[in-house]
Amino acid sequence: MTQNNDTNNQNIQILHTQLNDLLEEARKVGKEIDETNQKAREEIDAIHSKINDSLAQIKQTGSGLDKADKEAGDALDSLILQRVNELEE
Amino acid sequence: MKEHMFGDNNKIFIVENSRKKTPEEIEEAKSYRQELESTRLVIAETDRINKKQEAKELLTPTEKAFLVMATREQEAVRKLKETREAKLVEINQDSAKPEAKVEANQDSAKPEAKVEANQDSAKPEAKVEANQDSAKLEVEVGLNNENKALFNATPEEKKGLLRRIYEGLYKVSGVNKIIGKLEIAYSDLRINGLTSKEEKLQEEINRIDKETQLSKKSQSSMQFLIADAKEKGAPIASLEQNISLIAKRAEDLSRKKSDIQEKLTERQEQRDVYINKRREVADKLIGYYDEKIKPMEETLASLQTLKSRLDFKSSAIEITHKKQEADLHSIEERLNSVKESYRAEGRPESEIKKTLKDLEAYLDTGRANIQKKREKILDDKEEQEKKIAEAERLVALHKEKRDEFMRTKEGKPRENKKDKVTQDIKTIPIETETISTEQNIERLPVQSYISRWNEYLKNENIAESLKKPIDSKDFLIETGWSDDFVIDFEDFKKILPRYLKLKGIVVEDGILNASIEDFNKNKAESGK
Repeated sequence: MTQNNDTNNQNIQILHTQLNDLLEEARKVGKEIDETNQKAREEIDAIHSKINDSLAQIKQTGSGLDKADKEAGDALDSLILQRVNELEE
Repeated sequence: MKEHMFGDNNKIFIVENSRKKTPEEIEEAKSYRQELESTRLVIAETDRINKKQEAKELLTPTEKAFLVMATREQEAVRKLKETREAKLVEINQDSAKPEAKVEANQDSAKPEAKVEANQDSAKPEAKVEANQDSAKLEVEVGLNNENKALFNATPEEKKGLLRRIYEGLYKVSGVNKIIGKLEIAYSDLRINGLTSKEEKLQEEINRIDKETQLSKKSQSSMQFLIADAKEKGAPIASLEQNISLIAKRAEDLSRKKSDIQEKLTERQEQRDVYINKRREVADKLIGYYDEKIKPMEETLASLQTLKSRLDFKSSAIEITHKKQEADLHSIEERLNSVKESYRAEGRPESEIKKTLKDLEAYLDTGRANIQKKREKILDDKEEQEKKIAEAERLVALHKEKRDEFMRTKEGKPRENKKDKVTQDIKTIPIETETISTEQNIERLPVQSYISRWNEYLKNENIAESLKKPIDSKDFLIETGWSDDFVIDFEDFKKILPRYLKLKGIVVEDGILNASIEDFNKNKAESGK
């Protein structure tokens, strides 16, 4: 009986050790996951920031071109209006 | 009716009972009659001298010179006579259209017609419609204040023409209005409208030139007649009156030509100014676009690199997550084994649950963190790819506009293609995959895959574009993986093309995929 109990305790102890090892391993994987996610966030945020900057730059240039369109459109309207008056004289 | 006789066969009937001629017409007709008279006199004198010559009578030197001149100018005199007769008929026919005149007067005098016309112009709906059209033109076409003022100052009939010209522009989206305006400015129709008027003026000048030539010949004939008459002692007063009238007519023609020429020059100058200004506007716009599109394209190229980097990073993180999930799965399997062992040892379920609680919590948290991050990366990637697509659309739109400006300026026809600029932003499909946690898949350290791949590239059948060995150190830095990080073939197949793209190694997809599959086959065979 005592021998059985000793064996049983020994087995439980082995299981506890295995469990502790697994826990340690799980902690390590968990830490890796956190690190991966943290690094991913930093790297992807850096890419996002550059993308935002580039898009803003393109939009700014585009708005400059839209302004040029407007100016050219006004100049053309003026020419067309004058021209119609000349044509019908 | 009054009949004028010019020689035996030259009868001209002038309708005198038609409408009253203008002073200009009276003057013109008088001049033509004088010229006809001079041709008649030349013809009569020529006949007389010819008869004298036939009767073998001696001709005076003036008669001889006259005969030489008359023979030389015979054709011109005949032509002058014909044109002047035709002119006189024309003048009289023009002024003798009593029916047309009467009809026109009757029409305008019709009380119903008048009422109808007044009603039309007074229709409130018509007025409202015209005002709406005007507002539409001003607002939808986007006239600025200066041009609005110019438009409002335009007479109503010209406003109608402007509305027709701008009609096609109402339906055009804002971004493309400039193309429409440039097309209107370069429209052939407008130029043709002016060209036809120029042509009419030019025709009038040519007609005056011909008339002037004939008048000069007529004057020349008259001078001979005067000399001849003087020699014979005949009266020359009427002849001198004729020659002065013809000379006056020539002066009038010259003045008229000068006036028309001035009008023509003015119109040509107006057209040239318009063409130059139009070209200046187009050139300035195209130049500005050329200047701005280059940096836009450079920025877009850097965005494409960022897109490649984002794609590569997302895949590397995904593979890392996959490996971490596999690790968690492995722990869970062993945990289940421990759990069964606890049960076998007769431990109560409540105690087992309590003992394993922390570990299970770690596993759940790890999986949840991976899933959360995975979803975030997918969402972010979609958002960023939309931004890149927006940038691509903007650059394409401006390039397309620049091309349209060039096409319009060069007068080339519009290409029948789908309007790219109005296309919606494409939603780029996001790659999703099922995470395999199967343990029987062969996993190797990434270093092993790279060295085997580099070895495989030495194979002579490999495409030249692909024969660039991978720098394992750089590969590990870019992926963020450690030396002993293990991956399976599917991971390698996923990350390799993205790494090559990131490093600017361009290989056709088909060739690359076939090479990777071939590599896997060789790897399997060499491992046997």
